[in-house]
Amino acid sequence: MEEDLITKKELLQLTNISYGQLYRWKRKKLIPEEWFIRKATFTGQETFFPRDKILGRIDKIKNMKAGLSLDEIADQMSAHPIDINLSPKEALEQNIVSKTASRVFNEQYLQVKSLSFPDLLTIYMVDKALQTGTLSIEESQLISQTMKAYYPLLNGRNAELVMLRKYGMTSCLLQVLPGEIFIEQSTTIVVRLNVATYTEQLKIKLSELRRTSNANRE
Amino acid sequence: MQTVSKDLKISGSGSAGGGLFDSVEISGSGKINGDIESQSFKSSGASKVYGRLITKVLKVSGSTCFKNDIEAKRAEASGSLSVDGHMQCRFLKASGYMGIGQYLVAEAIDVQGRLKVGAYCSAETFKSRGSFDIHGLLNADRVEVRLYHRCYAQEIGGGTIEVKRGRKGFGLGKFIHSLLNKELSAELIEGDEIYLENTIAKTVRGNHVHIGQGCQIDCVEYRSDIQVTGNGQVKKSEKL
Repeated sequence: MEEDLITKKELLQLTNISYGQLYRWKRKKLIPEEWFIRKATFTGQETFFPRDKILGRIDKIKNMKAGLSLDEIADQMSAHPIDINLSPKEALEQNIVSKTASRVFNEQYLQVKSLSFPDLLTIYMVDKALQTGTLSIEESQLISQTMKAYYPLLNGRNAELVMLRKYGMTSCLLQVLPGEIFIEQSTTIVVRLNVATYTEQLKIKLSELRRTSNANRE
Repeated sequence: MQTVSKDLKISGSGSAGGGLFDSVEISGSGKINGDIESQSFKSSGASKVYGRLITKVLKVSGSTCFKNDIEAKRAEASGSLSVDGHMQCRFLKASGYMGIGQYLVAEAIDVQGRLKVGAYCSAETFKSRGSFDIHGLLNADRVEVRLYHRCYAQEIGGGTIEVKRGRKGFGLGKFIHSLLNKELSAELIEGDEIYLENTIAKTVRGNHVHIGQGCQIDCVEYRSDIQVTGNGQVKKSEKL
């Protein structure tokens, strides 16, 4: 699958940002390393970016820059977990996770009193997987098992959670990105979930929650 | 974490396992076999550290060898410092020789002497007087290089990039200076404001570009303006 690419030159012109800004954002890890695609062209080495991803990202950074410092934005966008503890009740009430997904999690790990960021992320991903309608609730337990066991080992690296099925047997794996997997033909991929994408979505949800709770307090 | 006030001192020849300390002082020949976390780490003489080091203040002189990673707030090195892993700190000041196996990340880097980095090097400000060898991207908001010897970076990118020839010395210094090969070579240099002297590069891209004395650039792409002075050579230039 060929992604639509954009050269660095084009990108700077289109978004009206400077080299200095682009390199600063790269230093702060606002733009993931794997988006810098280096290719040899007839004019020498050129850097390309996946067009939609980078344009979306730069738009987002520009918008967030008004209210947050670069370090704060970097925190939001990094794959590292943030420090948070929510009670399962709060998480439900604030619509961070759905009832079904948190029930799956609760059944497996009994009644946990407080949910940390990795827990929330796991429930959130179970939620998203269930929404695709391609897997059963029992199968979704594999996701939380896999995440619970291996998420701590990622240490800020991005990964993809892949669920496979063959003759009705389901299995789950977590693959560190960037990387490729090749699967034998009679096996189908039930669902693929990019951990960084959901980390970011969840962080945005949580920061909105924090903002409103701060506002309420005041 | 609980606060402990434990000091580690090695003078003469000795070894330690590592652990949590207030201050670590090594003079003579010391060996630390495990991970170490301290407020300050000072070493003079020859020492070897096999574990990771996390410290607020790092001061080394003489020959110090770290077989793992370093994380420090303020680092000062003179003599020879080698790190096999990566190094992350806020302020780094080094003179003499410094070699880092993997990447180097800091807020401010000020190096006199020789710097070698195995992967990329990123900082807000990067100052060098001497020579460096960076096998990756040198990414800094402000790059200030005074050439005293041969310098190499695979790529340089940032806001302001300034490369100038170092000053000549007096007497014998002047003679030696004239023998040394003082040039910077890079595949690619990209920045908003670029001023180059004695630089050999394939591609230079920037907003305002000044190509000065002793430069050989294959291709310059600029947005606002270009200026070529002295005997600077540009094979091809293109306004974007």
